[in-house]
Amino acid sequence: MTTHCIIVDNVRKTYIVREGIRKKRSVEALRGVSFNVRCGTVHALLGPNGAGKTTLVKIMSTILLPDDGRVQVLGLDVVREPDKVRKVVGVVLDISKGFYFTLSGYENLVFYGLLKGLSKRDAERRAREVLELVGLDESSYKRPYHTYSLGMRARVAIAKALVTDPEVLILDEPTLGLDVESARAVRDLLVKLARSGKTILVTGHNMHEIEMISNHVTIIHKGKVVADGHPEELKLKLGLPIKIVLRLREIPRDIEEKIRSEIPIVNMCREEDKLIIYARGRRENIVQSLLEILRHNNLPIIDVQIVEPTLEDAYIAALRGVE
Amino acid sequence: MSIVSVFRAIIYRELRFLKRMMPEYMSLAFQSTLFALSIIGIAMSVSGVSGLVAKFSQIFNISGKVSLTDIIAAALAFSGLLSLTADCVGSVSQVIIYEANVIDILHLIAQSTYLYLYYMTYALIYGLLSGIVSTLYVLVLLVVGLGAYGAYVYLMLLPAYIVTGIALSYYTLVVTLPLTYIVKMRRYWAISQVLVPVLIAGSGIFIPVSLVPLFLRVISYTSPLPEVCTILQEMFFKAIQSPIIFLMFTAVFVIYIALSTYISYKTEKLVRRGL
Repeated sequence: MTTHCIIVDNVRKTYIVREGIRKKRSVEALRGVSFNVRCGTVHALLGPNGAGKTTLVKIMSTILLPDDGRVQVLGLDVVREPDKVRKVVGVVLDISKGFYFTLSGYENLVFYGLLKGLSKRDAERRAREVLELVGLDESSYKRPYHTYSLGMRARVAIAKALVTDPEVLILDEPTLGLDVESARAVRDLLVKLARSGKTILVTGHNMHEIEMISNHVTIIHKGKVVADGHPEELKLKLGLPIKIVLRLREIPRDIEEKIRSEIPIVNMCREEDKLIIYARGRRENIVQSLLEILRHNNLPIIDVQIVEPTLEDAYIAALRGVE
Repeated sequence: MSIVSVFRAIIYRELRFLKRMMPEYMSLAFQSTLFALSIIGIAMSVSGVSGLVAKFSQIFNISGKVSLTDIIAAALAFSGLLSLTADCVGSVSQVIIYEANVIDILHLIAQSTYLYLYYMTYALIYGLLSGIVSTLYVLVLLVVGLGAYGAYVYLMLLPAYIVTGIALSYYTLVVTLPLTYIVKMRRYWAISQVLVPVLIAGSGIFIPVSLVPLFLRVISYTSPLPEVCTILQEMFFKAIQSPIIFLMFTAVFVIYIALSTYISYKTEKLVRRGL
């Protein structure tokens, strides 16, 4: 059995945008995007606005057809077997709308369940189950959707993706515009779902949030993949330095030279009793080497502070690298 | 997903909508009744009861005796077409544009099933439900006016209403889908605001067709209403003089289904290609 639940291979997509009655302009949204999503993981698809994330999400969920390339979900081709793909994929596209405003969240979910081929009894049962799972109480069952807060709408959108209990979830910015508490609830839910074996592809702009929940990150920019890997691996690949602040009782003159000879230093400076080091490489190796040098030179440490690069730093570095 | 699941989902949704929109149907029924009675009232105030009966018999070429009750019942029965046209054309066109441009529910549908299947099934179900729900007030009024015979008359007319509802829904699909996906019209209410009065005016329900400007008549003749109107009039007075009208209506019906299938399929291709 394949370990990759989603395979995106050299996908291209161009939109024709009409400008006026006759004039047309083509926009290349995807220019040969390739990456894989491992089963049972949370995979983040990142990129600035207009990078092609939503287009890719729509292609994976059979809403759009790619111009070229191949997308497989659980081994099923999205172009040749859309019906089968629709059965195994749950999608969230826009958390603020996408439902009938005059129907309640519950009624919207039953409608969706029926459309997906569930019997009425199953659709009603699943709608209740998933609403409970996302934390919406029964009082919201009768209220029309237009009276829901953004947090409630986000929960309904995720509940919709779960109605058919799909193995793969594709979520486009599921926490966009949510308050802290609602965003946290959604994040916790995603982690819980991933632990239960679901494969989740998520897009978003909140790097802190993505770093907390994702096992793998793909960054796309102007329709191309610019970086791909585990968040930690990505930071290493992009050569982002770790910042180490050492507070020592005394800082001998030759210590800088000794550190430079052992550790790949990007920058180093003194600030009163502090030695600030920017070094490239694996955190554990750098710390180990540094401690050995200090012990060897009999320099006691008063305090140490290690600041690792964030996913946001990696993201910005990846985008700057392209530009 | 199969046509059965699409059918079930739409039925569920429409019944839920119906529950919430009953006041709108009641208002529609009230307006149609008022319109029908006003037409009779105006004619009667101008030429008196005998004049009205004579004129009515002449217009509809009725040789037998016609009473005022018959005329009022006929006017109410024809008013069903007003209500049906307003409901079918208005709702189908608004729902299509609203789903695509306002609430963005198209994604939910496109990720669940084929769009052409959805649109074709929706038009069928809406036409069928509208044929019953938007004309139900006619049954009530006919029973009040004619007793049990009124119920019989309504049951005779009901198949015509239902078939008209379905034909009008497919007709609206043919008009609205290109406006939504090719012209990319955003002011969705404009379609029903323009189309409904034009269709009603040009179909000859209450206003003699000869009095309607040719341009409006031409637009109206693209819809099934003129044929249905004639059929309804002939059915009501049990004097079917032109059986060819049934043939014409069937032909028009087949054309709508064929055209709407083609346009729905094209829409599917456009949407999936992201145009």
